[in-house]
Amino acid sequence: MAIDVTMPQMGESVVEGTVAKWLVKEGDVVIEDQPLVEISTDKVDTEIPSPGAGRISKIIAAEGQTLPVGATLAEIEPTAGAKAAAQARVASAPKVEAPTKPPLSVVPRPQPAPTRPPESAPPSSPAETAAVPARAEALRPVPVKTAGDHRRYSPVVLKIAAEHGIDLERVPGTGFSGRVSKRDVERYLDVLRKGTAPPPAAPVSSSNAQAAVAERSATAAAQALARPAAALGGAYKPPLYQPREGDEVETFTRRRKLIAEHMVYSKTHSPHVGTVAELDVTRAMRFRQTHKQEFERREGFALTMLPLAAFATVRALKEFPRMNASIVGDSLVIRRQINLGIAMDTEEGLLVPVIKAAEAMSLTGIAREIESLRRKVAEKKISADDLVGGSFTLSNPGREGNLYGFAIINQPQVGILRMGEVKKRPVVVDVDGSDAIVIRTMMYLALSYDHRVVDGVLGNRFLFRAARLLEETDFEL
Amino acid sequence: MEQQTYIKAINTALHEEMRRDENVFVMGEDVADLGGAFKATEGLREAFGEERVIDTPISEALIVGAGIGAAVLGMRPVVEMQFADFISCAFDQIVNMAATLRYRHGGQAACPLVVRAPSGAGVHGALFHSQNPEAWFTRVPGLKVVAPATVYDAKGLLKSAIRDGNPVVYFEHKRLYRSIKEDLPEGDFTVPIGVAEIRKEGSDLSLITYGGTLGPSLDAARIVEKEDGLGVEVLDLRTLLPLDREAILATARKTGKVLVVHEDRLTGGIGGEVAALISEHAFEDLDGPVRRVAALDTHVAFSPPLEQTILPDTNKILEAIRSLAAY
Repeated sequence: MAIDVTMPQMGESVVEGTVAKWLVKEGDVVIEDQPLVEISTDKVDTEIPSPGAGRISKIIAAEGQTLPVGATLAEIEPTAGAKAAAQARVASAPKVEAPTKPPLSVVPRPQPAPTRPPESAPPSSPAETAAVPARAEALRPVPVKTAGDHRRYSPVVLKIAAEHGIDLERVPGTGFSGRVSKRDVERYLDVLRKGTAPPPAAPVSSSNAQAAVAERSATAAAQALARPAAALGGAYKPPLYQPREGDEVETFTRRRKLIAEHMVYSKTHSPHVGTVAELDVTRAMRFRQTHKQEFERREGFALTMLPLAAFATVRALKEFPRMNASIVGDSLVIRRQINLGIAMDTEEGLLVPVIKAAEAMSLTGIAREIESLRRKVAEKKISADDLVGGSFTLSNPGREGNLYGFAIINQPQVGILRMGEVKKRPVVVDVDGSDAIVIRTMMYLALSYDHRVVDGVLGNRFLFRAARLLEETDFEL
Repeated sequence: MEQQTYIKAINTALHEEMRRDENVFVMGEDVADLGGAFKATEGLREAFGEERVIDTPISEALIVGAGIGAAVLGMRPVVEMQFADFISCAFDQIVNMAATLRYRHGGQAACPLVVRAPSGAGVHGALFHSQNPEAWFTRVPGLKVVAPATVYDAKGLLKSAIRDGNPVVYFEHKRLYRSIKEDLPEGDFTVPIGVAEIRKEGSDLSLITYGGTLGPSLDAARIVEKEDGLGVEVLDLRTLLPLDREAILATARKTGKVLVVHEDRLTGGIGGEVAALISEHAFEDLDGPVRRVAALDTHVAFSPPLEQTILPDTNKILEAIRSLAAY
């Protein structure tokens, strides 16, 4: 009996993966747990270990193909010795989520398309389970490409995609310059049909109002699609690259590409407004200094400024729920649960792991969560689930030489805070009714917010509040 | 069954039709004594006498004009242009007289005339003996235009043309005369005018052609099927006026990619009309641009390498199929 190598469940929110690279070829003899193939999802790249020992009898999935979870990627003919063991293993192997019941929806949702980060945070209460996801699902916009993106589709491809609810951005194109041909869509559909339960099923909406909103949103998206892509600026092309001796060409990694696409999407779709607050963090620094040793002894890692800022941010978000929100189609979805993304640098580029349900956490809890995420990132063990569902983001790009700066909003969120330089400065303060110049530890905190949904007054009030909370909170560990 | 050439099929059709209907007669330059420049009318004078097989002066306008007169009076003349290249001399008679006759007489008169026009290049005939003038006639209401690509159709379409109550211009391809052979069923059969035929089924790309380019098109389709695994559907139009719109749109909708191939020049050729039909009525099913392979917009040269450069051939079709399939 052949052993099937299948697309693994890489996280609750992940419904499919792309075959990035085969590490073996047909006929190769493999041992159990030997890496067979690299799989890319929106956020993570994973190697799939061999489920058994044997000979690769058939490679079914081609490189570049995007397949649903559970789809067969290859078949392994067990070697005589390994046969019994392998069979036993297959028999006892815990079943991955049954392909007949994929999470949320079988339709390849536009959601995890690279230009927008996925938005699938589990709702905080059972009551929300019914309302929020269904609504968000219904509102999910048809992907609209930016002007700089030249992916166009032929009429028949658009027709097939509309009939079956396919997100064309996920269909690998084999035509001229990566064009998605009719054949490509049909192949993709085939895979969907074989790999998972019957496709589309229109977004479920529980009330007429929702249906109406969904329709309006779909119409708007369709209109946006119909608009000529290059109404403004589309004509510009950067000058042709002229190679010179000594140039080094670094091809974008998948991560880099995703980041680039996301940043361009955010900058072109979301009008950013930047505003900066100056903070006196002397108290916070003193608190940190006081508890540094005890904390490190107790927790095993150092207490930094970041958890303090995260804690203050979460408290400010509680007071300003409209900042803890997502833009979905032409609606603002205000999230009750605060999932705070923390931007982290890695060798392969920026990652934003998410502290889930941060509103219920103490300062220590937040510090522990940040440390745990940091460690996972460092050890490259971060999972897709750790990276999705953020509702607001905090960025701390390092202190030196960073007076302040404005971060790009992590879509579809509506704001991002960025910590600036912490430095002692002479400051005028009021001492018993008279002005005095004293030395204080100061920091800048910059907010970028999306002016589509956040106006100046709200943006300023939120930033002011976050700054005051970081200045004045009596932190407790 | 009997292996027959394209020219033999034409000759046989004429024999059979003249035997079947005494109103059918043949006129043209050297059609009687010589049996035609290409021997298409060989043996007719011996079989049917000089009253029904008539040599004419070298005047295409006269030949067609006389034919129109006879047709109006109930005869079924089959007139021959020695080369289709000279059909322009009879242009006024065909377009202004024959094609309008039924209309001018309010349907009270008919003009059951067949104009045979040996057309096509690839025989080193240079610019006056290589033309494909079919597109000049395909926008004239009142005419029918056919262009058989097979031996069977050569016979069946000529019979249908003779029996049709309207003027039919019958373009026979000179290169096919003796270069293709088929087993033909004995006896009488016809091929309906206005019906295209799928010569090869396929689902990846449609190739629409007629006349002299059917052969190279099928060759190219078979090569890509074998080498690239591409299923090319080849539709032979057979009739150019009226076009079989249903067949054209059906294959376009089926594959989403269409290549039109003809030996006539690119500009103003049938390919443009076919492409327009498809983009008007099957746009939603298109997966790529409708493309054309045709003769260059120039006169066919006498020099063989130049002639080869100007005319479509298997390699050019092959290249176009691959490029469109990869689109």
